[in-house]
Amino acid sequence: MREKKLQLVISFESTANAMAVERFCLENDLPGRLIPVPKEITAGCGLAWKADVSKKDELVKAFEENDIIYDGMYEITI
Amino acid sequence: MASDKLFCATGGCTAKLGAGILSRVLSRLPKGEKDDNLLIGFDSKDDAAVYKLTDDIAFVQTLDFFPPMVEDPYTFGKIAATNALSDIYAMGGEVKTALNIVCFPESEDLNILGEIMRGGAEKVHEAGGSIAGGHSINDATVKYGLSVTGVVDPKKILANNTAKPGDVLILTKKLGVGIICCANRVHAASKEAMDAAIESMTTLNKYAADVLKRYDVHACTDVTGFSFLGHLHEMIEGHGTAVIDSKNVPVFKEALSYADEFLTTAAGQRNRNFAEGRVRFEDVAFAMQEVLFDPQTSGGLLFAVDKDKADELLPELKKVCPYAAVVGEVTEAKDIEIIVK
Amino acid sequence: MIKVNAIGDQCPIPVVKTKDAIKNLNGEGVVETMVDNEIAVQNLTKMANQKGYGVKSEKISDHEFKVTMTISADQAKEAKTATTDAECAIIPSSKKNRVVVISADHMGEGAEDLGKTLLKGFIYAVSQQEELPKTMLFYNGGAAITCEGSSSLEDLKSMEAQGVEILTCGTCLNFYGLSEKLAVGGVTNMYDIVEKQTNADLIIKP
Repeated sequence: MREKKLQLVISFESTANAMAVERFCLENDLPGRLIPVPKEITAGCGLAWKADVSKKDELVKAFEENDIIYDGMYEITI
Repeated sequence: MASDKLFCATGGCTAKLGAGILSRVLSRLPKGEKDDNLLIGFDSKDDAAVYKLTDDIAFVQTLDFFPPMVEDPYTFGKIAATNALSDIYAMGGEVKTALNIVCFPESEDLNILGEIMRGGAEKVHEAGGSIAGGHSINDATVKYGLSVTGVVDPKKILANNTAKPGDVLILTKKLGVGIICCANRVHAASKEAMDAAIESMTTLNKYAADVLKRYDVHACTDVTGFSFLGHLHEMIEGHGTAVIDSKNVPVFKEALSYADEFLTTAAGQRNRNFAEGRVRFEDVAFAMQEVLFDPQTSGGLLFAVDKDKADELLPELKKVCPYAAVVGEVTEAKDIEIIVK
Repeated sequence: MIKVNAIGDQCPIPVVKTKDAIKNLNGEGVVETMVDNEIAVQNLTKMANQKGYGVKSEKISDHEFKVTMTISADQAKEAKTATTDAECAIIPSSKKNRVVVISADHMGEGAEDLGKTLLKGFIYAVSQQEELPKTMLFYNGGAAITCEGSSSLEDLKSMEAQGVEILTCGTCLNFYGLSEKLAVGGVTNMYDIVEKQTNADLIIKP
């Protein structure tokens, strides 16, 4: 069976917002990827950014510096 | 399915040929001319060869490879390497170089092979050695291992068959990884049990060997495919009787419960067939017996040392091998070679 | 009597299958297990002796052995109520044959970039299922998903490593000039594409 890992999941208010974050992260070489929001989380939109838990500070800093608004930040095992 | 191919049905040391079959073949091989510098060859049933170059330096040569016993290729690489390197430590040697031995299906994803070899290389480096090359073959099922060369001072070689009456026997790792992997194969092992087994199988015997070097150890072997009792037999044969106190033998408790469910290997039964006539169990539970016959992949060191030295050695050993314990003693020969209480 | 065929099974599977059969006896009875080697006979006999079942074995040929166990009503009851970690030990062989078909580089009709994002999410979600599909077919615009530059390669490779068969239409790769860019799985043709879908229990399309 697939091994589950603790992951950082960041949710957003709108789909357009989530897609913009994906573009931003790819352009700036930030870690993680866009995934459908895991069932464990309820969020405004169906897309979320997933990254390794250790990358939390790096992402938060980049988001803050670039005025990127996110909805929630979770650490869940998926 | 790719994962089925990799996840071979009889992985690890459970894939070894039985000791019984093997000794029949080995005893018939032509011996060739005797070379006095070959200090240890297979006539001693030791796992490695030791060849003396000068009075101070001998090289130790060993080879070990097997099919996977875990699903993750990187972990498998680490286990296979830890197991192959172990023979050098059982001899009292130091690892210098290693060559990869690879059997891999050409059609399979090469990234899997890369992961296996990454795991192997990491362990060789941890041992202080270098990967110096290797050989690979296109084969239907995956197998991986290493041929390792080390050096040892010929005066400080630890043979596996020189225990003496009055010695106590010490084991450095828990027993039962074979049964846990076997249960895992039918999806009956808990994640905790499997994680603990993997942790044990990827722990180098280097750290235990470093402690042993400071003491006058009479005999040493690593416990692998022939099981605790099989390897104990090699150590004791002709040197007395081993009396084992099963309550003091470190074991994975899950292995006992899986053995009670009869989730045991064919290799374990072969070990029982081979060693049973040499062993007397006095009131030992069935599950414990099975664990004592369980083939260990990358098992711990089993060694014999003077009783009065053991008290000093054990606390030091426990710092690097928390489960290490005195498991029994060697007495003058009795009516049977091994007694387990 | 329940007959168990464990020919070709490695230890401990013969024991696991036999234990399962004993549980299904629902009362006293006989379980007859066929195995192909003597060690398996010994392992079965060992179990029977520990459990106190009646047991006898018979060599039928060099690679065929029959182990017959006789189980009393009490023993059958005990076997049935024994709840252990080793339950549900046999891998389900009745796994459904699921086939996922990806026929475009986007999911659904509408804004193009949303469609692409959705498809990426769809493939990720497939890779996160407890039970993975047997086969994934990619054709027409879907062919680009298995080629270099696709952002789903990681998910597809991880599924392939777990045994999912990933096949892309060769005609389509050729048409889009992608033949040299295929990055995961194999190439297939229309006959296979029809056959895989005909034999599927379930076809999943995004």
